[in-house]
Amino acid sequence: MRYEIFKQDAPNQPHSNIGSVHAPDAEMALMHARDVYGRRPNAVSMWAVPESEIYATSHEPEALSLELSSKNQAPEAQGSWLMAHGSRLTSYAVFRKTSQRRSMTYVAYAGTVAASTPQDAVTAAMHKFPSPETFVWWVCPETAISKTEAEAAPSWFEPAKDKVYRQQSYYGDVARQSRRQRAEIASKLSGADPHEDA
Amino acid sequence: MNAKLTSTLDARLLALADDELILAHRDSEWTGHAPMLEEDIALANLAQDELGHATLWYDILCDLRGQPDEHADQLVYFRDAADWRNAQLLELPIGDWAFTMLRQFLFDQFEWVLLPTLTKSSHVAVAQAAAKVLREEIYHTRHSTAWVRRLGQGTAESHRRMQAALDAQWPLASQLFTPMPGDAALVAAGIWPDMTPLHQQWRAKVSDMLAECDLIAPASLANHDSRANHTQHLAALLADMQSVARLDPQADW
Repeated sequence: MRYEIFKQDAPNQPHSNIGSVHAPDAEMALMHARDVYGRRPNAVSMWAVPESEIYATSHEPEALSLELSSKNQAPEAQGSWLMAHGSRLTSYAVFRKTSQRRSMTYVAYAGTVAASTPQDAVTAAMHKFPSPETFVWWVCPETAISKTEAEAAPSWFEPAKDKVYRQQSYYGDVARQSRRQRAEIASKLSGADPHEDA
Repeated sequence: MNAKLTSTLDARLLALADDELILAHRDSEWTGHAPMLEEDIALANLAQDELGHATLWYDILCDLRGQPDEHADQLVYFRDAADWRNAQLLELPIGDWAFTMLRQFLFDQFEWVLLPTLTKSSHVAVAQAAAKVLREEIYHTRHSTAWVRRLGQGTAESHRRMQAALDAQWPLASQLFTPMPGDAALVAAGIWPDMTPLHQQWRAKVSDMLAECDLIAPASLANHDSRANHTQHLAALLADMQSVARLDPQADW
């Protein structure tokens, strides 16, 4: 089963979608998320949501209320979704994408709304979380979210801060240093200015 | 610290560092071959973690010997099989996924009982390193436990593979707790814990998990081999691991 993963970079920031993992259950999904997306040090918490629990819709002017192709649910599928979840009021978690600035900007958590269907949840979200531009809405029942435990964070996320060898910049520094060292060695050997043809 | 204490602590640190280093190398052999992309990354992380733990213990050993940290590279890359002190369990080839996960579980549980007592060591560097390693082992233990449970309680095939792994590993696992000459003095000085009660705690924890999975530990005598004895697999592992460093021993990395 595919789980969408939401990562929180700092306690005062919203959980943002960062990608997905395949896993047989939520516990394994969170562990995979930690291993795949927690290698770089900015993480304090992660959420996992089964892809099938997410209702997604884009809100671009030219595609108003059309489902995203990757999240598209056929009408029958929506029907069975309703059958499974009933029509009573449910608390939905709302995620939205409000910027096109970077290609890697995914939806981020906005809050919750109470609604009887995911479509109603999106409508309620538009009223509750108004913004000049929202390109994508994702909603899922709050109960579908599995979360890392706060007390697990020191073991799950803190150690990554010490593992500088996992960061690209670490190797950038090594390369710069060795280029300089090579230039210095070359200048000693030739007596030339090492920066002349850098 | 008197000479006898120093030499016993030296032996304890070398054994633990070698355990971690050899396990790290075996885990790293899965890189690019694990059954799922997510687990490929997970096991690469684990291998790096265990390598980091080995480095911590080797560095304390270097200090104890009055050697610079580079001495650790000498120990890892230029030592022959007869001089390694890892338990035989850790040098066995990786086998299948069940074999690798069970070995990781048995070793994680070993660290799980050892490290909390080591954090109270009167040797400050040992206590600090143990605290650092323990923090990561909370996650390691969760990961390997999850896999043992899923494979042990999974399909007939996964259960059969776990039982086969247990049959092969169980007789060797007790070597992790084998006493060493001079242990009593280390225990008396509060530097290293008595391994006998830790062995009982470990057996109780591991047995609970095995029972939960309907896995049966084979009735076999404990392995009290000296850590100086190895299977033929260690020499093959070292030939691979040390080959690049030995191509040019003077190379500056």
